[in-house]
Amino acid sequence: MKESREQLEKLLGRFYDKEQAARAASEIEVGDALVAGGMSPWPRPEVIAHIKASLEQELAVRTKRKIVSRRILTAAAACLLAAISMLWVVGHHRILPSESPVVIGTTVIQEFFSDDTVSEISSTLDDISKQIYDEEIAEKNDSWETDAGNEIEEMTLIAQADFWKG
Amino acid sequence: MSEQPDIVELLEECKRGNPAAFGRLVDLYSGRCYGYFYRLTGNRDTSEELLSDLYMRLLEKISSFEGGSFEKWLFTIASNLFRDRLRKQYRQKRLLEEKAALDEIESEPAKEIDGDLSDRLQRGLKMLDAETAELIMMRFYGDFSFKDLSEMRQEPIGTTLSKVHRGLKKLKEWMEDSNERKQRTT
Repeated sequence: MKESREQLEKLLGRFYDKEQAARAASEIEVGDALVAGGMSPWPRPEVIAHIKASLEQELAVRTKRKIVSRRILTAAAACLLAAISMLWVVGHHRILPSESPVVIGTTVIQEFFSDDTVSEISSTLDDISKQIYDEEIAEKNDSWETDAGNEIEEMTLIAQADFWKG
Repeated sequence: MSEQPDIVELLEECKRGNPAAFGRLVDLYSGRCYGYFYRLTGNRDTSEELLSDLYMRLLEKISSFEGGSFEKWLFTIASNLFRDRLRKQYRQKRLLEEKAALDEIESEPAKEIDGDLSDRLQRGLKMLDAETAELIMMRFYGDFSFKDLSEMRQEPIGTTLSKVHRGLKKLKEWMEDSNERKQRTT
C-alpha cells in the first residue's frame, strides 16, 4: 500500500533536507493524482470470458494428465512391490525356484496375511493342488491301461498269426 | 504486505486446480492488470493478449507461490511479460527496420475509450522511458509503496524513489504544457 504523506516525507527526508522533502512529497502526490485522474480502461467482457474458458480447459487437461500419470505410477509401484515381496520371501525362506508354486504362494501369503486367512487360503490351495494331482494320476492310469491293453492285443494277434507254423 | 484471509483461501483453491477459484481471480485482478498493460502499450489487442498470457503464466506458476504478497508476485509476472514483449518488439523492429510502422501500430488513439485527460496521460507516458513509465503504472495499479517497488526491482529504495519522482514531475510538466498549448489553439 502506498505511503501516507507523513511516511513519504519521512522517507524523502533520508535523501533531502526537510524543505526539499516536503516539496518532493507534494510533487509526488500531484503526479499520483494526475495518474489516478485518467479513467482506467477495462477489458472487454468477451475477453474475460475467453480467459476463463481457456483456464478451465487447461485445468481439465492438467487434471486428466495427472490422473493418468497417477494410475501408471500406481500400477508400476504395485508391480515393483509384488516383485520385491516375491524375491524377498523366496530369499528369506530359501525356497528353491523349482519348488511348487503352491508352496511359494502359501509362504508369500503367510508373510502378508493373518493366520485365519492363511489357513483358509492354504486349505483352498491344498484342495486345488490335490484335485490337480488326482486328475494327473487318473490321466496317467488311463494311459497305462490303454498302453497295456494295446500290448496284449498286439501279442494275441502275433500268436494267432504264428499258430499255423505249429 | 500480508494477504487477506479470503485471498489466501482463494489461492489455496487455485493451487488445488479449482476452475471457479481461477475465475474469481480473473474477476478480481483483470481490471487493474489490463489497465497496467494498456497504459504501457496503448493498444487494446496487445493488452488483452498480455492479460491472457498473464493468467496462463499464473496457472503454470501458482504452485510455486509460497505466500507473502500475492499482488507483488502477480505484478512481477506482469512486468516480466511486458518486458518480454518489449524485447520481442525491439527485435522485430530491428529486423524489419520499420520503426515508424511499429509506433503506428502501438499508438492506437485512446480517445474513443477515455476522456481527454486519459488521452494526454497516455501520450505523456510515452514521453517517459519505458522503465519509469512502468514504475509509475505499477505504483498506481498495484498500489505499491516505494519499498515494495524497490524490492520488486531489486534496487535501492533511493533509486526507485528518484526515478518515480522525476517521472511524475516530468509527466506533470508535460501535461501542463500540453494543456497550455491546447488553450492557446482554441
